[in-house]
Amino acid sequence: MFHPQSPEAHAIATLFMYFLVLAAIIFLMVVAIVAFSVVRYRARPGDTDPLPSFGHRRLEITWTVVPLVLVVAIFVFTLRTMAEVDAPLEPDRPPDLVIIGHQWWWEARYPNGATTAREIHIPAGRRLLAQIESADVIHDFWVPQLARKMDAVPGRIGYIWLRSDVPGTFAGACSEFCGKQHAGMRFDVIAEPEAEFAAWVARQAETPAYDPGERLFRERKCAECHAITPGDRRPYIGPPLAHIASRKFLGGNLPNTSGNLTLWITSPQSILPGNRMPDSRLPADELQALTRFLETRR
Amino acid sequence: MNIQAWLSTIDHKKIGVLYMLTALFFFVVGGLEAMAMRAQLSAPNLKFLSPEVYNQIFTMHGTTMIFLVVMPALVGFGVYLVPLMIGASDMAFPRLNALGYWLTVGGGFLLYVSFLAGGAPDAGWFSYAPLSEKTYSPHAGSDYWALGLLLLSAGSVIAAVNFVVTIASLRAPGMTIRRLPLFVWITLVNSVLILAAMPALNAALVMLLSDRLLSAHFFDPTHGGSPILWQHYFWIFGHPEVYIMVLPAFGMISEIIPVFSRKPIFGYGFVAASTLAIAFLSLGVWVHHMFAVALGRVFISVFAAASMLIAVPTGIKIFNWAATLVGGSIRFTTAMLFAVAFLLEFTFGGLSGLAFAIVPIDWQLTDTYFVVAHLHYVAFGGIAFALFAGAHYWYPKITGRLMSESLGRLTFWMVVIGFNLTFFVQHILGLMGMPRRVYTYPDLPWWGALNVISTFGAVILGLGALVFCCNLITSLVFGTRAGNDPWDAWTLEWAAESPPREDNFDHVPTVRSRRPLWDLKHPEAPDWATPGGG
Amino acid sequence: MRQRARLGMAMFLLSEAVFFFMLIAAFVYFRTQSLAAARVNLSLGAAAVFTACLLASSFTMWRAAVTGLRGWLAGTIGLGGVFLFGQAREYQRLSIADAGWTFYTPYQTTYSPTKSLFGTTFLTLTGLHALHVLVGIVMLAILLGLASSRRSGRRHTVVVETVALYWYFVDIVWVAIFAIVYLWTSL
Repeated sequence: MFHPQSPEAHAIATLFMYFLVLAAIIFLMVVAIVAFSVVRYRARPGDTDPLPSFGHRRLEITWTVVPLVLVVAIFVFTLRTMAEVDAPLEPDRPPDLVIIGHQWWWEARYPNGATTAREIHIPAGRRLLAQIESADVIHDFWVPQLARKMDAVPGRIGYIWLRSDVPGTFAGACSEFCGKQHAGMRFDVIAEPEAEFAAWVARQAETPAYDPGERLFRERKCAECHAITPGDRRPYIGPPLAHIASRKFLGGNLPNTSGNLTLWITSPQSILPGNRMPDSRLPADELQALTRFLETRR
Repeated sequence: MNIQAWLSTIDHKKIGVLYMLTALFFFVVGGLEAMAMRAQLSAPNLKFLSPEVYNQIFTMHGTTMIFLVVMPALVGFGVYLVPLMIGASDMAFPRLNALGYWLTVGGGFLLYVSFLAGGAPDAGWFSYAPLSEKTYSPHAGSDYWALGLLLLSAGSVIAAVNFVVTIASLRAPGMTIRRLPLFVWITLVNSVLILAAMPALNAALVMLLSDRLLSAHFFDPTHGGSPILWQHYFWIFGHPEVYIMVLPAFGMISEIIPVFSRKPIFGYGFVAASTLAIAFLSLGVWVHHMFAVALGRVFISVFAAASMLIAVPTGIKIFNWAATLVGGSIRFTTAMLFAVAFLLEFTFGGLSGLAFAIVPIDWQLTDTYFVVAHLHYVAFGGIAFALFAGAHYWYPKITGRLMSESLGRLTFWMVVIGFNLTFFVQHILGLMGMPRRVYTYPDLPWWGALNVISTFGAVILGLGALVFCCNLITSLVFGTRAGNDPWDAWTLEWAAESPPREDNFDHVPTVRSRRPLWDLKHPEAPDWATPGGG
Repeated sequence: MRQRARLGMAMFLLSEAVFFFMLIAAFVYFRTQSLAAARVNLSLGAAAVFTACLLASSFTMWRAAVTGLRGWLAGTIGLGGVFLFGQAREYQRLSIADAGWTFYTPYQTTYSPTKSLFGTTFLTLTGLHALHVLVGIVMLAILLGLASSRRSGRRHTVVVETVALYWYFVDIVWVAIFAIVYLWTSL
């Protein structure tokens, strides 16, 4: 939230700064009254009880009315910023991007058929309408530098504006507790110049060349939980792998290197304990073939 | 010490003490759970706790602190003090009183026996469906959670009924509703709030249990059920619950600050009336826990406005307490130190809470460490500080001995420093994007450093709590004898012996104002003869 | 003593009223989705008869509280029993119609989901109400037993009056349920 990179995130950050200043003034006022009393009215030896005073009507009215006025002002600012940053509840056009929360990974679907996981590419400078859904329990899609968060509630659809003014990589996280690997549901939004984005999204929809490893991928039952063909949008348990090699990270925050990929295939439970993929024991040659196959899926 | 006499007691004082000891026991348990979490979070990517265990521990920490520490502690103080403060010899229904206590024990037992029965609940203290449904939480933890909470909630309802009837029918002659000590006044309002809010939790729990055990579909979206319904029902209870916990704390502060400032409370009528306003408004703000859901904008705005409005009566209270200090002759006992610290910490927590009523800020910060920081400023800096103050203040009445002031001061400074170190930095972590309820986090700039500060603070805080427990025990033996009225206070409980005899009073002083003992000690200038004092 | 008992019961019933309000609200929340199933499965006529029995039991309860006669108490218990019998018949019919709960023991591995949302809301709401009637009958039976052992006195009258409050409340809740679940559905 400290370095907003979209007009929406910027508006919220500005509102927060106003709030911070106001809250600080009120807090310091209370601190001042208390500090003054503590110093000035500390009991001294020989003090007798002061004369009782039971209240003061005008003072009471003051500290009722002044906060009331402040609250009304805050409310007006709240409404203004809400209208500014929030996507419509029922938009009049199809979304540019559908984002689906799964236990425990994020899926992103583009209109051209491309499907990806963990790394969500967007064109810098363009405002996308993102549709947020869930495949199982409640998740929450949150990229602090770019947009408001939105709960992904099963059976319910939410929309947010997603945009970045500048190219860059912005970290996101699931912000609603969703079970064992809630912490592992991290992702990145990658904003890139329009041309690069167009190239990326086109390539993600293409089928990479056939590879003998693909047979192994099906025989060893990887294909039961993972899509390997671009555009295959059946409800899989695990993330799509059609273009796995083009991503920077595997599950959680594990960099996508050859060694890590092998590690993930054999013992995912040691990386993100409790995730849905079981550990496996494959012969060394098969493991190597599978890893090589996945590495060519760019 | 006759154990059987304690187990079968229907004396409100003994039941009150049992409640408080139960709360203390679970405070230690919940505190150890907190320490385990802070240990796991002290550095990025630690593997001290597995995610399964961590999720159980944070769920149990929240559930324990709310339902097994704060609630029994506040009910315990109420059960002990209300009859004494209104000059009665016991609660209206002493047997019901005992039943309420034992239901609390039963609820605590059910919650914790789950560890032995296949795993503790691990869906968080608000147990969102469908995560808490059978499909996603197949083991019995969530069933124990729901059943335990049903018992605890029944115990609270029983206590609330008893408070209302006691305060309505057993007041000493002359103690009109406008002369009630503020603690009693607030307990009365709070009890009605319990009666209005707790049943929403019961209904939600019964529905969740129907889903889990009888394969109903209230919250199951695959069969037409609605996860949002659970959120509505839980928070219709859950938000008033926040005030149910904090109002009695307000009551304690409203007793302690005047006595040690040597002045009557400033604006009694406004403090009492603002309590009513808070209780009333608290029933209409629950949706601010759900702003991140895609809900209608007008709908959200109404609840945002109501949530902001609560700041007004809360502010009235804070200004009245501060005005009570002004012009006083302040005596800094440990109880008073905690009360003054309460004033500041609670103001801070209240202001950070305002952030969540401002919808766009909530859209960024909800379910982050900023929430964790905010809620602990209210729950610890507010409620727990008031409980520490109350414990030091009423301990001599309950045991007949004063708590050690030197240990008390040590407790105070350790708790204040530890508490602020632990939770202040969590605001920043939340702003930097750290979600709550994560068992670990990546090694991002500053995250490790801020978390280790928080853990370090938690250790100091934990040690401070330990000093407090030692003080409770050692003062029982070595404490100075207190006498009936060690603080030169004004409410009726200080006219009884310390500890009070079985039937409390041999003679209840005449009540002609809010400060009957002041009138007794100052026949030359009684309150009832002073304008505004009667 | 009388005041205290009545006030205590009234406060308890206040919380019960909120409880039933929440359950009825849940029924209404899912009403449109479960309307079709409700229309097929509910029989207004039979329910009306049992509703009349429960209402009549409020009258006998009132007479029992005023006169202190055992006969009125026994009559109340009888009418309450008839109402519960009616409920049991309804549930049996529903389970035959396969619209209700399939009861299965906790932690059984086979998952046998209910056929409809209507079963969920209807059975939870009316089931919890029936449970309240049952508790009322048990309390009345205890009072009848105490009255028969001739240990009744002033205290006894207070208890009967207090239990009567509970009984009226349970009847009023049923009137609301009948109106919303049966009458509104058949419109």
